[in-house]
Amino acid sequence: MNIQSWIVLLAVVALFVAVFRFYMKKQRRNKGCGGCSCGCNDCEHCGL
Amino acid sequence: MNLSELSLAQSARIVAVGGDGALRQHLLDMGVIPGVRVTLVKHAPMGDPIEVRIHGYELTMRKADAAKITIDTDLKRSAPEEDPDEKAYVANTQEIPHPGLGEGGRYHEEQSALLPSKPQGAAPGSPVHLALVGNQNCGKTTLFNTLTGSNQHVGNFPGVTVERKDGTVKGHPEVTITDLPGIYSLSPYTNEEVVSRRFVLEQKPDAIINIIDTTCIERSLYLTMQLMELGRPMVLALNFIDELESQGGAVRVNELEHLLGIPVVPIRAVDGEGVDELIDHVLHVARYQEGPARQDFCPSSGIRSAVHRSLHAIMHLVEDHAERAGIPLRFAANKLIEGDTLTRDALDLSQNERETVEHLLAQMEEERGLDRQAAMADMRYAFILNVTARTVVHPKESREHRRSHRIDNILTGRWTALPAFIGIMALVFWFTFNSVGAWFQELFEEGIDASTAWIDDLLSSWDIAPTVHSLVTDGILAGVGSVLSFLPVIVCLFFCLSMLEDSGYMARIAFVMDRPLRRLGLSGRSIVPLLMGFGCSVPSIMASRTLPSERDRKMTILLTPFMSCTAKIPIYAFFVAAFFPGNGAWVMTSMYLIGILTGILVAIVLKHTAFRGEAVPFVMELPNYRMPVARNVGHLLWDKAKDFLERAFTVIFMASIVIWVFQTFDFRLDTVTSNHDSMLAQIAAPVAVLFEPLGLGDWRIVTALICGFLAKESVVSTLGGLFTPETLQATLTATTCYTLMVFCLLYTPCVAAIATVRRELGSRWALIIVITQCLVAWLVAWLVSTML
Repeated sequence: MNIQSWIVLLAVVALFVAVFRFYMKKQRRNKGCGGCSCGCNDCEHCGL
Repeated sequence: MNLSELSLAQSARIVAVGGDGALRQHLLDMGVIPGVRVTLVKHAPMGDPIEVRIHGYELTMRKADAAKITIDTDLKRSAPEEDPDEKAYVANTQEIPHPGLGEGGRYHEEQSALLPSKPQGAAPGSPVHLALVGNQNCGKTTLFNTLTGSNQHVGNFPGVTVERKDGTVKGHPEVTITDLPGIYSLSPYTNEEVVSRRFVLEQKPDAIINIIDTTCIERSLYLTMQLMELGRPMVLALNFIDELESQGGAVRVNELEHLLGIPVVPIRAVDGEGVDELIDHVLHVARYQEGPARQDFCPSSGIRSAVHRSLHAIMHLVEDHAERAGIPLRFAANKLIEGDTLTRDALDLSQNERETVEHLLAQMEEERGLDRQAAMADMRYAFILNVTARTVVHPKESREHRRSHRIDNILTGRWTALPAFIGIMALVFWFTFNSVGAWFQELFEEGIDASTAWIDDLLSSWDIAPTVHSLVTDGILAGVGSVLSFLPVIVCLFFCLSMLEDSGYMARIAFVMDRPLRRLGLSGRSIVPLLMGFGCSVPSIMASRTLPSERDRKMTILLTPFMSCTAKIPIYAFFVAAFFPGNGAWVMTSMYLIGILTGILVAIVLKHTAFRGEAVPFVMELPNYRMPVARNVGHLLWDKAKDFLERAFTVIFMASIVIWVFQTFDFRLDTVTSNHDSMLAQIAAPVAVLFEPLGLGDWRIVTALICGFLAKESVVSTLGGLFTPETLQATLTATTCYTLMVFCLLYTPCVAAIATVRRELGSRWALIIVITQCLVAWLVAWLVSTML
C-alpha cells in the first residue's frame, strides 16, 4: 500500500473511533437512570 | 334523567355524579359537579363518545360514563341556592388598588411586618429552583421555551409533555426551571399527575409558576387552589388573555390578585409579553419565601360550613402526622377527605384516628347532603365561581371557539368525520411520498450521487489501494448515502404530523376514533401514540404515558411497533425501485395497511387473552383549533432532521464499516474473492435456514435483517453493500421481495425503540415485544408468500 492509502485508512479508523465514542457517550446520556418508569428521569428518585 | 340522554344543544343542570374511584374524582376535578350547567355539543360519528360544554370549555366522555351523571333539564328548578355567607366570604372588591404581591416596595414591607417570623429564602445570586405547573395544553412548554430559549416540543394536544424537563432562565443563570407534565388537579389520576405532584411535594421548589388558560379560567383555578393549599410561594400567570380580551372579555387583575392572595401576571407565552414581569414576581416570592396569603376557601357559616368544620377538625387531628410525613397540613387534610390513598398511607394514622376521620366525614356528608369528594369539589368551585364573578368579564363566545365550532361541523360531523380523517391521512401520504417529499428526495439523491462520484474520482486519482478504496466507496459512501437520501421524506412526514398535532386535529381524531378503538380494547387516546408511530416509535412509546391505565399503556406500546415508522421508508423505496417501478404508491400503501391490519389482529388477540377487561375511560378536553406556530414546527423539523442525520453519521456509518469488514475478509483476515467465503456469510448462513420457508434463505438477506436491529435504515445500507442491482434481481423475485418487505415491516423494532420500551415497561416486556414481533413477522410473511 502506498502512503496515500495508509493516510486514508488511518483517517477512516480515527473517524470510526471518534464516532463510536460520541455515540456511546450519547447513549449513556439518553439512558438516564432507568431505575423506575415514573418518568421523573431523576437518578436520586429511586436511589440509583 | 342522565347526561347520556340529553338531546343535541340541550342544556341541563347536574344533580349528582355517580360512579366511583379515580374516574369520578377526575370528573369532579374537571368541574363536573352538582349544580353546574352542562350543554350537549355533539355526538362522535358513531354516536359515542359525546362532547359537552361545561364551565366554558369542551369535555368529551363516553356515554356509559355520562349515564352515571344525573341531570335535571329544568334549569330554574335545579339552580343552586345563593348563599349570602359565601358571597360575603369573598369580600366586595370594587376599586381595589394594586395589591403589589410578589413585589418590593411598601406592599412587601407591610406584608413582612404582618408575618415577621417568615423565613427568608435564597439570597440574590444564589440558586433558585422554580416549577412550571398548569393544566394540559395551557402553554406551559411554550412559556418554558420562551423563558429558557430552548426548543422543547409543544403541541395543541392535551399531554404533549410526558416527563419533566429542566432549563435555565435566560438572563438569570442561577434560576433553574422545571417544566412538568400538564395536570388538572393534584389527585393521582394519571402517571404524569403522579410525576408532577411528587415533584412539587418532594423536591419543594423555591416557587411555583402556575400558568393557566384564561379562556377557561374557572376550571384552571381549581388546580391553582390545590397548589395554594401546599403553602409554597407561587405566581399565577394568565396565558391566552389576549384571546379573551379580543372578544370583549376582561380580567380585573388587581381584584383577582387581592382575592387569591398570590401575585397575578397576565402574559402571552408565545411572544414573551409579560414574561419579564412574571420572572420578577416569581423571583421575589422565591427569595422572600412569600407563600399564598389565602389558603382557606370555605366560609365558617352557611351551607358549606360543614365542609369548613370537618376540614379544620381533621387538620387538628392529623397535624403531627403531616409534620412527620413532610406534607403540608391543609393539603394532607384535603386529600384525606377526598380519599387519596397515597396521602392516607403517607400519614400513617392509627386505627383510632382513622375512625375519627371517618366519623367527621360521615357527619359532614349528612349535613352537606353530598358525598365527601363531591363536597370538596363543590366547595372549591363555589369559591372559584364567586371569585370569577367579581373579577372576570366573560366574552359571549371567542372567535377561536366560533371558528373551532365551524371546522368541527365537518371534521367531527356525523357523516363527514371518517371521510375527512381518511382524506387528511391520504393527503399526508401523498404530500410525503408522491409530491413534495419525493421531489426533494430526487434532488437529494442527485446531490449524493454527484458527491460519491467526485470522491470516487479523487481516490482513483490518488491511486489508493483497492481495498481501502472499496472501504470508502462500497462501505461508507454506499451505506451512509443510501440512507441519507431519505431525509426529505422523513422531514415531510414529521411536518404533516406536527401540523395535525399543533392545529388541534389530533385531539379530534382521538374523539372520532374512540368507539372503533374500544372494540380493540383501547381508548381513543391511544390513537395519538399509534399515529405518532408512523413517524418514530421512540416518541410514540413515550407518548403512551398520557394513558391513565397500565393496561392501556402496555397494550398501546405493544401495538405501536406495528405502525410503519419512517425508518422503514428507505427499505420500501429500495425494493420498489428494484422490483415494482411504477407501482410504488400501491406497494407503499399496502405496507402501511398490512401493518395496521396486523396491529388490529394482534390487538383483538391481546384483548381476549393477556389484556382482558375494559379500556380506560375517555375523558378529554377538546382544545380550540389554533394556527400552528412556524417557530415550533421549524424547531420540531430541525430536531427530527438532526436526529436522523446523527443516526446516519453514527449508527449507519459504524454499521456500514463493520459490515464491509465482515464481508471483505474471512476468519483468517484474508481478502475474499467471493462474498460467499466472507465472515458474514459464515455467520449468517446457519440463521438463513429459518428463512428458507419464506423463500429468503440467502445469507445476505439475513445479514441485512440482523443489521436492521441496530437501525432499520441499516437494512438498505447492508443490502446496498452486499448486492449489485443485477445480483439482487437474480436472487429475489417480486413475490419474495414483497415477503421480505412484509417481514421488515413487522419484525423487531430497532434498538432505540427496544430501549424505550425497557425504560417504560421493564426488560421482561422489551423481550416479549422482540420475540412476539419476530414471530408475528415470520407468520405474516409466510402467509403472504403462500398467498402470492
